Amino acid sequence: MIVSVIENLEFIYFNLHAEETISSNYLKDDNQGIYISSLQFETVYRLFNFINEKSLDKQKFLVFDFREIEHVQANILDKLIEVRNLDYKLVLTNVSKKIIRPLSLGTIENHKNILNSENGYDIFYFFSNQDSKIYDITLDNGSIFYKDFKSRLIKYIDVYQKPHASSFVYLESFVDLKKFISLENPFIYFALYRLAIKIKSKWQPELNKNPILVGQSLTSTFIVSILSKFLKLDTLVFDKIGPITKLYSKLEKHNFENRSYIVVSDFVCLGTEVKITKNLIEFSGGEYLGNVSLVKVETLTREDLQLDNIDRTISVFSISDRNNQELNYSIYTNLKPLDE
Amino acid sequence: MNSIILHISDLHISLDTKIGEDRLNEDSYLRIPGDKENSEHYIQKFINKVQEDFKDYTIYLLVTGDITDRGAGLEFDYAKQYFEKIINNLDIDLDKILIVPGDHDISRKEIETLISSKEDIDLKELNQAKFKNFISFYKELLNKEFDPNKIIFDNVNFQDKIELIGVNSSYHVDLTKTEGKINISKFSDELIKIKNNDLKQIICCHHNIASLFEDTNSGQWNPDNRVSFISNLEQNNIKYIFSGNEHTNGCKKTTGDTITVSDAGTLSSKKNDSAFKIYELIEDENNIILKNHIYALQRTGSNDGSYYWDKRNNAGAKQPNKFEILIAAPPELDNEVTEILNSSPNQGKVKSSNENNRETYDSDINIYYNPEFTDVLYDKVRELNLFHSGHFHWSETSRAHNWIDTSKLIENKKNLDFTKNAIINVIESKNLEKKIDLILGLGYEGNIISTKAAIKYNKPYAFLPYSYRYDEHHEYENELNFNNENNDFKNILIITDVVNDGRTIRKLIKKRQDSFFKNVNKIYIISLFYTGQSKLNNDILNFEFVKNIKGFDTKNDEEINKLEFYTVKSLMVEKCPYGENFREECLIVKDNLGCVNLFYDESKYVDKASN
Repeated sequence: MIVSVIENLEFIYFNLHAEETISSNYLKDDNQGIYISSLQFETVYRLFNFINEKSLDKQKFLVFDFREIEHVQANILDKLIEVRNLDYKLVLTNVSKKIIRPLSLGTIENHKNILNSENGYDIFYFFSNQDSKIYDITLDNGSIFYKDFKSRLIKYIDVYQKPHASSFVYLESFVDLKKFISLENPFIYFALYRLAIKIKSKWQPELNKNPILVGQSLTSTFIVSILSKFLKLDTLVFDKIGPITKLYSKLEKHNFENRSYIVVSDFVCLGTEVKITKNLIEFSGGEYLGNVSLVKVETLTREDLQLDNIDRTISVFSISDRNNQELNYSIYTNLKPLDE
Repeated sequence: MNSIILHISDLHISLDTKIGEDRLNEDSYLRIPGDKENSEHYIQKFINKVQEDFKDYTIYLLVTGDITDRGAGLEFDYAKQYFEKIINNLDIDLDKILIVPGDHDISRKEIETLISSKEDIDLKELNQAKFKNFISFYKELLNKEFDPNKIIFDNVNFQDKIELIGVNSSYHVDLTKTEGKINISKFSDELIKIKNNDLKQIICCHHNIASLFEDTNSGQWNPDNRVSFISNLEQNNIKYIFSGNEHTNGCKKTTGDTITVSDAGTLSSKKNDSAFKIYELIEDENNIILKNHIYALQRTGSNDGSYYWDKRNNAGAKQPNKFEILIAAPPELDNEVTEILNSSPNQGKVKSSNENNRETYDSDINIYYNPEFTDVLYDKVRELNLFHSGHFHWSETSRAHNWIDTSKLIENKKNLDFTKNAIINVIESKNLEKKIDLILGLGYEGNIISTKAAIKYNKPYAFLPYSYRYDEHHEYENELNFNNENNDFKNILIITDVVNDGRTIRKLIKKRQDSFFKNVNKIYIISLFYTGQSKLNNDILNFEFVKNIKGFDTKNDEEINKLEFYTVKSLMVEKCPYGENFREECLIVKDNLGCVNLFYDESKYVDKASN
């Protein structure tokens, strides 16, 4: 299973650290989560087999994203060369300085390679041909992921035109992330990997407090389960604060004192359920750190949100004024517009 | 006829003359040619002991390397003599012998000769040269070829139960490198070609992958390569390695207890502990068990005989009495549930199974049991006080006086990992991974503990609420989201935290998701706990079974009979004895005498009743 493959018209993208995270945590069980920084032979071997067995378009470039990789096993270069020998042109991105020598990248000269300020390569073309369309293509991993996620997500947005389950608004459309989770497999694991990486990069000081991941709906418990493995965090299930807001009693009260909490959701629209959970946590003596979700709706501008320089909500995809029309997503109320 | 595997290692048959810069090994009872009579005597004493204890047994011989000390031709000449003596005296068939080379069986001289005669030497040429003397010895003794450029160079079928797989861990050994290392992808490819899935595989190699006396547990194997090797063995469900190299007779598990390493020790050291092992196949129709006999050299220092071989006590040597290579049958179930001690007022008291009249069912028992998960899970129930007494209502028909708080169990990330691995272990021990087409996590906790199996086995995955909680979920959360009109999903695995009599699952299948499940042939169910009253077996959730339970309410149930059930731990709870009129008949509920813990929204039923 390769979770991170993203194919578009020009190239096929793979994220090696995401694959290593899957190998090490799920196939080998070494429990390092996303904190593993060494790329093992086995992962590249899996990747090689995937590429070899699938009839991928050989006209397309293969983009291997090395972000988060700080070490590589010695024999990985041989396997990369084997991939190249399958008649693919390789592009390596986000190559740390530390792995340039183990990958013997010094042996390939291409003046179009893009060095960064830390003497790593943002882009390393694993070939020397100077005449190629790939040089004109943006290989930013964020935008590669965003475009792919959006094209997948749109399939799960249904016409709804009913009241929101927990807020006093109407939903023009419903984003069915439960279905997305089941049918966009294994891509969903890459999306959750990206979420975990984002949490790590934005909330490192908070993560040092070993916060607890709180799930408050059936769908969010799936996300909690994966994030717990990736981020090495404990969990708590609130059974349940979902569309039907009812919290069943826990026999033995959870001790919230001196613990911090991250509320996990699949989809955050107006944040009503998150706020209920946040209030419960704070009322019980716990510290609320923020909310994470696969998708969130940004109903206000970033400036109006007044985020105090700390983004209290993290998601891998936002529905905002930039894309809601394209996605057929909107919210409305029963009030008449003033100009009617 | 009874059979054994005679495991010897690290003989270090040594030249007694120093040649050039080569080391002179004085620590061997097998020094030649000057001391050859004593050496022969030593071998004879070893043979005598095996004959004495295992007369009339079919003997398989396993030698895990370092037969010689420096791979010299003369050392191998004597090795051939000694092995012929062992083979003839113990009446061992040649096809029942597996001899693995060690790093001391390579010829450094041949490597030096090759290096000094040619540039650009590849590994194949190097291997051909360094094993030159071993290849000759192997051919002359066993009348077959040794291919130095294979990782898996030979395998031996042990009584149609076990496949002893010869792995050349000295594949990369040269003048400077002595540690074990193999090419993992090559190993995988070779394993696929020879692996017989009807047998249980045991890896036989020279280098030790776990260390008995070093501070680290990494053995004398290349550390990175070791991790990949272990992972590969785990993927292939290979759980035992028989090896040598460390000159320490012992037994150790790799981190995570996934692989057991049994080291024969050195056969012939004067200074250190000389030992060998015999693995005796225990006759058992369903299981494959090897009894672990340890033999050690006792030194008397007397004139009449300065040493003799004797059996060692396994407990004293801190080694298991037996290796359970395959356990198909569960242990005796009586008393598998014991009383929880040190009960707090809030805790329940678990009854032993034979205090209760569990229904019996006349069929072959097929259940899951693994002490690493079954017993440890029970320990966690006790340690975390997860078993509670009181009134617990999950639905109008599902009520009990005990409750296992699995939600609390999985709050800690290590416990969560443990439960996920327990599910994986059930799947693997029942060989379900290739049978199932889709995994379904049931309930909040079931969803959380299923994800590892979904990822590890790369299966389509869905999750659903318990059938009695459908009304409390958004319509989209009640959707299974897979279409089975074309019969794509024939075998389904449902994973959940607790199963009682299975009514909830039968209702889910028929009442809630009939359009999907009507085309399903088989539904496997795995739970962490079984809290029902029946004696465990894999068919106890089928309607045909439960309808025969005395007093079972068949009215609110569904006739589903394609369920195959496994649980990690059976822990019976006391069901509420009152029927559908419990609100009137149970004083605690009626008069509000104590707390009733509701896990569902009863208002609609209460309202309905009052109307």
